Amino acid sequence: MSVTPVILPKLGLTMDEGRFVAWLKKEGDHVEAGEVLFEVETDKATMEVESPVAGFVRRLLATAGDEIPVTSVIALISTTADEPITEAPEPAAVLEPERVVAPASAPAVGPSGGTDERIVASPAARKRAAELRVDLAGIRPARGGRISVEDVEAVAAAGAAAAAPGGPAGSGAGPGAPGTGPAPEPLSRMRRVIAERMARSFRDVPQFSVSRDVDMTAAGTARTAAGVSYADVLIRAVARTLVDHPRLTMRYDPEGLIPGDGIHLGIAVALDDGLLVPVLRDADTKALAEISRERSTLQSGARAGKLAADALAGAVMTISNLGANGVDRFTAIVNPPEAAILAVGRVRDQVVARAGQVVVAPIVSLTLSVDHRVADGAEAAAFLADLAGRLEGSLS
Amino acid sequence: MPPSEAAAAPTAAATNELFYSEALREALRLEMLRDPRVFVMGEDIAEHGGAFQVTAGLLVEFGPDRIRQTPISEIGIVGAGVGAALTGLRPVVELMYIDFSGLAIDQIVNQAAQNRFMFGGQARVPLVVRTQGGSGRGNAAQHSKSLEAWFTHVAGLKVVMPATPADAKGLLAAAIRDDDPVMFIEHKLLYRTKGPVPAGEYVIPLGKADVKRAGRDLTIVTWSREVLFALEAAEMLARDGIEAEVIDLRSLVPLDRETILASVRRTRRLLVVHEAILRGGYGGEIAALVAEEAFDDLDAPPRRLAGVETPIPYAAHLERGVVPQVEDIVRVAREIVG
Amino acid sequence: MTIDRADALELYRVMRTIRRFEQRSTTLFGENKIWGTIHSYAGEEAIAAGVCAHLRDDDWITSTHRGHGHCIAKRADLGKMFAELLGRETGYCRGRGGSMHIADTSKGNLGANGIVGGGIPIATGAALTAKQLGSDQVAVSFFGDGAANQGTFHESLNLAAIWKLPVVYVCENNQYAESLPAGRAFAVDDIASRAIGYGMPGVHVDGRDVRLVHAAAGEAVALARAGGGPTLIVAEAYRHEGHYYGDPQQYRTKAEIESWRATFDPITNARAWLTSDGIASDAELDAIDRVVDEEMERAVAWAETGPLASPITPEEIYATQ
Repeated sequence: MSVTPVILPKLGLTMDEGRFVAWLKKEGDHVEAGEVLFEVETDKATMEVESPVAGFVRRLLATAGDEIPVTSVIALISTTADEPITEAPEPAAVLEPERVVAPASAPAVGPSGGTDERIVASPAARKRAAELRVDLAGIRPARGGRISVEDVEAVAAAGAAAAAPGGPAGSGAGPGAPGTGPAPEPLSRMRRVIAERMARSFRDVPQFSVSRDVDMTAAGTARTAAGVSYADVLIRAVARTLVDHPRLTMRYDPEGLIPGDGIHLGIAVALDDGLLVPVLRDADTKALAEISRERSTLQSGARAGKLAADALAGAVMTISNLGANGVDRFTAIVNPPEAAILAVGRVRDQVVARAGQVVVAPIVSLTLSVDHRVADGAEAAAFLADLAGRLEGSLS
Repeated sequence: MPPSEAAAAPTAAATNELFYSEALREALRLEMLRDPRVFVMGEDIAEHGGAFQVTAGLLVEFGPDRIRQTPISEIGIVGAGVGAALTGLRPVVELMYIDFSGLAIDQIVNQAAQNRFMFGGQARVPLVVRTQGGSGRGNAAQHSKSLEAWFTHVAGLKVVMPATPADAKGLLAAAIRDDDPVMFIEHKLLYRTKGPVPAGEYVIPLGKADVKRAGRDLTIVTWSREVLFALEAAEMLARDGIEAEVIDLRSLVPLDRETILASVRRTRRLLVVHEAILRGGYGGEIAALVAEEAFDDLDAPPRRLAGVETPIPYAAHLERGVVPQVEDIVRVAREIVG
Repeated sequence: MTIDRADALELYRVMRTIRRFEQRSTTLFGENKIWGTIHSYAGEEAIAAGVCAHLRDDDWITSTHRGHGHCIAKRADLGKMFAELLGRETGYCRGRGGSMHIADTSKGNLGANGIVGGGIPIATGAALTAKQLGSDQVAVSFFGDGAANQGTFHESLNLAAIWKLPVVYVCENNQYAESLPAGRAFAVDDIASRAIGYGMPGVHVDGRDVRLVHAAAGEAVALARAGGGPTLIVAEAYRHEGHYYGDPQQYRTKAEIESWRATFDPITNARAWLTSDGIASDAELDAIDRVVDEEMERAVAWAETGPLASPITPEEIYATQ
């Protein structure tokens, strides 16, 4: 007494499924091994399929017109006409082959040994460096061991602090021409870049801002204990909060939102002639002391014009702090391609209500500007609420 | 160091000044004396001594079973060679012109090259297919091609192309001793070139290129008859202070990548020269290798100088014009080095 | 003709094993366990069985894309055959060859061949080895009616004849070269007549009767072994299944297939004379059938436990590194 499942067999090399045509037996009929049991249509022809065993047809599980994948069970035949039918057996486990990786050539990067003084740069990078009058020496490639065009252009955009301002003036008359007004001051490379980026942000990014005043009492305690500044406490809090709000670390692309590859925070640094935004990478993994050290290094590096290209790229959000300049609060412009920027005012003693009592506490105004294509007001507000919670000590 | 490497420099033992065809014959003869399983099959190889006289005199020494002349039946000959190789013999099969290899190509490409792999290691095919190619004798389009690139493209085949008599002897001995099918491609205009050939047993390992001339300004990678042209060109360039390094690949498969790369890392410039037409030629493989693995050592893009993409024409001046000549190598080398 | 009882039963067993193997691999294919395709030898069993009965393990054969039958008749291990079809490391070719390249060099099987006529010169070369070494080994080249029109057939037969090589050429005329009926592929009625053109004996046998194949092959193999040179045997057969598994077979009618299957089945034919000559009873033959079926199931079960083919290493491509 046994039950044989009848499958729709694979009848040809390329056959994945067949269209069921007809049964040549009814339920209850007896069938011989080798007798034609059903017909199925493949892409080549209608084929007859024989019964694999002799027995009684107990179940017919396909009807004319059904598209059935090969090896599907479509009938059950048992040795007797009336024995009870049990569950069909589990299919055997599928063996997984070891992954075979097709060989690819493995280009070596860098010149062969013993020639450390040789600068490794692609031909395209060399050409661009010549065009932009950038010195290849000292450029640290962002990726791999070879300086690329992107590396050269990043350094060119940022290196204006050390380079002499230059570049052509706007159109129009030369200086001092009678009757034409004051001569335009030439823009430095950096100013040109800032102008272009901020205009682009203003033009292309629909941005809104949300504000919140935050009690920095707890933050003040933490910073004193660690011997760091409010800015460092703020950086760490922002980084940790971003872990829970990954949306704000993404950037907008017509094809979809592109996630960031780590919590890298841009720290805006004011210079005589403009602004640089060095990047503090993986800020969520660093302790306060380390954040503090790195922030100092980045700031002094920015002011001295000694930052490498990879120190200026890759931020997922920027923090801009005008507190030292006496500003209470301000709204910053989102720094493309990032989705958000946090504007920080000064920490000032203020009278506030706490549990119905009047107290004086250090308060800071935080304003978050956000790319509305990436996140909405609620998300921005939630971020600020969590950030406030962290700074005020209710979250760590 | 294996004995064959020590013997590589033909200065040690006695050497004889031999024709390339004689050097091949010597290799055949010594291998046949050494190993009774080695035998030769091909057209016109018996009393006639072979179309290029490579087997002259061997019939008398070894008899008609081991110098086995065949009817004009390329696929039968090569196929019988495959069968014999699979069952314990070591046949050396001669295809008179590489242009005829198409007649036997199934047995080379679908059988000999693949039996070892298809049978999961149950078999080996120690077959040597000796053939020749190249232009310069007015034999026109069906008897003058350089088709080595076809065979480099078949997994399971080895491809060897000697340029000098000494290399011809040493490489043929190695090919016969090798347990894999080897396409041993001679050049019709090399048979009557002469050179010093070590006497006695002489084996050059497959897969080792030979720096035929050292230089610091440009690496010229080449094989077969163009080696001779490259050496001549190098002499002319030297008078202008350009020192070209000439590397004779000798084996195309297996390829001696290290010798090529080490040279380019020093000279920073590559020129590949081959008689076969440019498109799809083995020079592309060398140039890609260098671009991928020595990119940062290059001061100039890798370049190839090769046959014009046309069937080989008949008229002498046309025939000469479609294949790189000495003056072409000199001109291109100057362009590269500047 | 007389045939030894033991030999007769062995011929029956071999044919039955081949038939059952083809049925079993067809089922495995239907279960989507066999990659690629397979070519059934059902209907032609008498030829492989009748010829290989005369061959030693050190005699060689080359086969065709329809090679399971020859492989089995040359005493192959069924488990290793199934394992090969299932792409396992434990298969004859470690999963690298598949149905069309199955080989068993330990038993002289120089391989099935995916190229029509590809094995003919190879068997000729194997025979050349025997001649060169002075041994009495012989080679047999199995090929179909389609291959008899390939250049390799003509070049090989000529070489074998001029050199008097110990090779037997066995042409299995199953009436169709893929979809082309033999009548439209040959201008002669009897393919064996081509032997005269090359200077060797040509023998035509009815491939339905294993006794006839056995007798003709016996003579040809003995002649070759004795140094008498090659023979061409053309055995008529009928291919029960399509050219390949899943072939819609639009080139022959169902009526034709059914009629031939009924009248041209070497196994039912063998049963008939075995029982009528009193060599064995139906019960004894049924017992052989059961043993074959059990052996087959054990082989499939063993094959299915094998690991998948391992990754390819360079030593597999070149023997000399």
